Amino acid sequence: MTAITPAAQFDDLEQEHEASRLGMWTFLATEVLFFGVLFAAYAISRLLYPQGFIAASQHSDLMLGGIETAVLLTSSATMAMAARAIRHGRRTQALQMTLVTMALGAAFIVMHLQGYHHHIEEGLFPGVNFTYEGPYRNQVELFYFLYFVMTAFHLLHLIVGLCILAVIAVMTWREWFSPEYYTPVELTALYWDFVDIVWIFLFPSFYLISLA
Amino acid sequence: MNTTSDHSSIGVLGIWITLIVLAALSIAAAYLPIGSWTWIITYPIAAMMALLIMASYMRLRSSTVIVRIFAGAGFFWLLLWFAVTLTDYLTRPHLYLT
Repeated sequence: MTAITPAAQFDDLEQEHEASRLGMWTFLATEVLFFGVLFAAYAISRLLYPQGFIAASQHSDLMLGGIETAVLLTSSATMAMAARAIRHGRRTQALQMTLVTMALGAAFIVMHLQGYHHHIEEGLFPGVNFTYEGPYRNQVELFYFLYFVMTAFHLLHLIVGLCILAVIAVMTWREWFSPEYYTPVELTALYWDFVDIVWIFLFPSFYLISLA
Repeated sequence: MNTTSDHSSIGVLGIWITLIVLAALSIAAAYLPIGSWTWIITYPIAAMMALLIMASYMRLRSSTVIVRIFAGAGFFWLLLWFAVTLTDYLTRPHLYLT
């Protein structure tokens, strides 16, 4: 491993690390606003058309959504463990936890694509293949439009996260990180946790509207 | 670098268990016979889960004040955005989909 030195504008690695964290949080603030506009559209639609949204959500697979939630929450915990391990110089454990996080992320993607397949087969894909004939047809179509757009953007973020994690795994394996320098691991963990937080709000929005 | 404020492995596990319990509570709340109003319970639970993740896994609890301010700024702006947008939509006549 080569000795890591801070960039010219920083006094030391600690200062560089804090600046990097600040930059990452600034990026995440823009992401909050990116998803925020989608959630605002969702909130307006749900407030205007509660009956249609209740009817539409009856077609959501709660079991699948619940398992997906548990898988993502677990991946956040394993990512936190990976970051912690690298901070304490435990490279092997960090690599193991990063790989477990990747496996959980991949499992989520497979499960979610399975959910998409199920909805498309049911004829609930807005515009292209929408054959729903029950009451509140247009409201149900709006619900599924929002469902596909919002969850697809989330899925895209997850796929990006998975690619970054793959790079982090290789860098960890090649001994790039140490208790003195672990900024990329920490920033990746922040991004991964943010993607998890987005799902935490998507889950009640599309799976838990009303099950009574 | 500073690792003194690091949470333990047991701490990570404890937070994970709390998150799973909160998710289960959220599912249980969806079975209440209050129609679409379940959001009154499910979203505050989601907000609690998000805060827990931000404070612990994302280490905001041990971050500098400036990082906390930046982290909060996005959510504060989102709050303003929702308040102003919903004020408009909820106080005007609108086109109703069938």
